[in-house]
Amino acid sequence: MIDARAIQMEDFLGEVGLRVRSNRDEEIAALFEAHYDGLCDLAYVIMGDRHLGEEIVMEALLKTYTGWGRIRDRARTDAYLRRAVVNLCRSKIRRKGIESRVNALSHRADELKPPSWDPEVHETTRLVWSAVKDLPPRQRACIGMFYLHGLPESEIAQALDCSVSTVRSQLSRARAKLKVALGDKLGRTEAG
Amino acid sequence: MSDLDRLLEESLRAMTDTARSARSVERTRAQAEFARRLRRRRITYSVGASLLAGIAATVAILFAVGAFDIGIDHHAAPVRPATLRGLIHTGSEPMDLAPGNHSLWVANSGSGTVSRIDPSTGVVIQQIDVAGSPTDVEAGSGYQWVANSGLSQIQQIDPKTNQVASISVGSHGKPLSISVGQGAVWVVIQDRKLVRIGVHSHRTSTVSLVRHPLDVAAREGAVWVLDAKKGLVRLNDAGDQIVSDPISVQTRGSGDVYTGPGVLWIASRGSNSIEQIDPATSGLVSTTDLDGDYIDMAITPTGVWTLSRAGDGVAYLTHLDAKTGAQIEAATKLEGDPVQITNTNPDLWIALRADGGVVRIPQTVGP
Repeated sequence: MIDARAIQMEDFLGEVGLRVRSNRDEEIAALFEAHYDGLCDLAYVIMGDRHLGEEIVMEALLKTYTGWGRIRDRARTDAYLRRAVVNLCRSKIRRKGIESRVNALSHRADELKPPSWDPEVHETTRLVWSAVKDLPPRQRACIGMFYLHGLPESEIAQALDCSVSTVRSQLSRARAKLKVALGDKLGRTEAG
Repeated sequence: MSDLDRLLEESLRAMTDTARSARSVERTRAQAEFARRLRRRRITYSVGASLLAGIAATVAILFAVGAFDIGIDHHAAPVRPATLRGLIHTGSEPMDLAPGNHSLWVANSGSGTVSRIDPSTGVVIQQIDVAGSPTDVEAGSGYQWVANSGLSQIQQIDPKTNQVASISVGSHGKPLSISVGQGAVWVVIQDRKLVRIGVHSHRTSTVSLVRHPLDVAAREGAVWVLDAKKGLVRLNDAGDQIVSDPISVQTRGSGDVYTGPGVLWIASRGSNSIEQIDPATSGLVSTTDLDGDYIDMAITPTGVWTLSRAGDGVAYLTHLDAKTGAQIEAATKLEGDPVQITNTNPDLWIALRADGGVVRIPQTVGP
């Protein structure tokens, strides 16, 4: 079956005058299709800002385009992209000193509202997000890759350029903090 | 899966689903933006690559036409474009050069070699491997003598065979500079010692009469030592007696002494002047200001030639009258990293350390 989104992308490149002229362009277009959403989710969790996250993912894809020749194992491009996104997020936070601003971001109501809106679910989601955004960026990255992407600790360690034990301790600390922050909610869930 | 895990997974999923649904509306715009940036980056890289290729081609053409050749020009003086005959590559970090036995000898400190050049053709006729770090080379008693600080040796090169014989001065320290005359090789050692080596016996002995030698010149029938504390000291040929009262001179912890016909020339590294002294009267004959700090000098039949470097890094070649010390003509600006100068009539030779070679300049550059 032909992927309708791939056709859409190709049309799009044609429209703006960018013909798919090389394998690299085709592969980058395919990467966009395959990983854009997942990477945006991850960047969103780390940065706490959807638009900033999308910017970072776009930059990571462009960097991948320019560094295409240096990627040895093309089958592992997803890991390369993930690492690029995490690094860009960290550098953005570090460079602009925006951590406090990022942490202070209150997610907009329209974004918090799930597709099937339910007051109770909405409240729970808001509380969890509020607790997650209070974590340090590295722990947010661990949480995002572990719970959203379902990655094993070894791959998270690769993306963060640290050891598996560091990932374990980061996850453990994050869980401990979240447990404290969401204590009532957890108790109610367990009781319910 | 614990309650916390479930809660986290569900909440994060709900949040990102919301973001995704918002993003789906803008996806077309995002794709267009990505395509636009991709195209712009490709254009930037293409233009950058073209520019680099253009610059490389321009540099290659400039090299080909000799635009980067080390050359000289004058400041405040008529330009004499034909005075330089090009760089002669000798080896890494040439530190000294001296004439002798119808050749010019260059000590390449970085490559552990001594280059022998035919001064009439400017061709390197022999590369002699001496190892270590040769820092000074002098002619005397039919041989070339090399101070090799890397090996703590004085090396004797036979110009007939280019064979090298070594004399260890390791027990005394690292040799810095040498002068050959009055039946001996006189060696200034790094930790302020003067060592005398018999030319034929190769017997070494420390000259205890001078305790802070900076340089030694054994020519014109005398051995003169520039001592940081005593000034200019004249020794007898055996080095065991001071012949006359020391001449007081200013030094700055390093310096050179050169002997000319009936005069001595003294200069300190870092000083912007050189002094001419009459050894007969111990009197100061002249003081000449240089363009910048003194580097080296050569005494030739046409006068005294000095190398100096100004504060802006530009080096100058200055031609002085040997009798009066007066500057004969405006200094000549030199490019490169000149460190030593000598002469083989009728040419001057300058060692350029950073360029790994020497250049020849006709003395007709003078009036």
